[in-house]
Amino acid sequence: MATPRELDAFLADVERRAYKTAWFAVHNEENALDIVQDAMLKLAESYGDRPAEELPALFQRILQNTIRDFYRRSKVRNLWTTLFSALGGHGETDEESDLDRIERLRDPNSTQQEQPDAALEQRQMLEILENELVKLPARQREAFLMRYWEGLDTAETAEAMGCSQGSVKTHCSRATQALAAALKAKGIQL
Amino acid sequence: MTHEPHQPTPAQDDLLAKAMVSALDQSTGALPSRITARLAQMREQALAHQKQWQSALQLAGQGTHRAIGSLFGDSFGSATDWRRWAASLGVLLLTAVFMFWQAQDQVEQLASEDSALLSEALPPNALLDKGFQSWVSSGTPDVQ
Repeated sequence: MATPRELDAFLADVERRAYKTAWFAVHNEENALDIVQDAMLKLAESYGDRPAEELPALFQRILQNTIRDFYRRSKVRNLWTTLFSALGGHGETDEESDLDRIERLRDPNSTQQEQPDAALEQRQMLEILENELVKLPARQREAFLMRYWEGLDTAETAEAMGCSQGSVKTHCSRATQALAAALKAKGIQL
Repeated sequence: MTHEPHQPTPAQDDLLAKAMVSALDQSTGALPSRITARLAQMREQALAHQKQWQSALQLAGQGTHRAIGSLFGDSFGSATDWRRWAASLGVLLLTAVFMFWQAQDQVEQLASEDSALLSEALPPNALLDKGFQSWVSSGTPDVQ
């Protein structure tokens, strides 16, 4: 069973990547934080008795399920919003403010005013990568981030995603090629 | 002769992907402090939930310990190892005695049933006779 110290160390290690993973999926700071919070609580409450070595795969599965739940809830909420805005015609302002928020988050100048030249290419690469990750099909993004960023092996990724190992390999390969092509198109060769 | 498009090998894919995630790793280090502070807060909340769960387990464990302690005296809670062994041995002995008593009781019941059967006027072999059984059944009004 994972001790509180082990759980703390695990969450401290994974929390930032989890936030970014959620952000790539939902493109919103508050929603991404809510998703990570739900995933952390579910892990601690339901799987706090599992050995520490099982935590990474379990947490990734919980995180992806929480993201899917968010999509489902959003779909229902959007349906009602569309219905009400069709009746009242006041939906546009909210949509604009959300878009502004996303643009602000994506704007690298919003947090850092000046970057040294040496880091410029790195920043550009990161910007392209983040934009392209958002555009990737959800399953490809899931597989890529779990397999390479979280360092799960193919079997663990397949189990967390509920698919075969062959599918994981295909998703990962396609995601990698799509990201590499996007970087190459912008003049960045890895 | 046709040339198939160049397909990257899995090893090449891995190298590309590793270069990409190392860039992504740097992005996590540059998260705004309001986000890192929220994440730390969430982690503490999650840990508090695990602690509650663990303390609930501990309480349950302590409850069982006290229940046993009340059976064997208050000193059980602070008993040394040999006392615990003695208490466990006592429980085992009591269980064995109870099971023996149950078995004996069953044997005695069977013996008394046998003696009741043998002491009746009806010979015991009659109970094994099919004709006698069908006569008893047909003589019972409830039986169709």
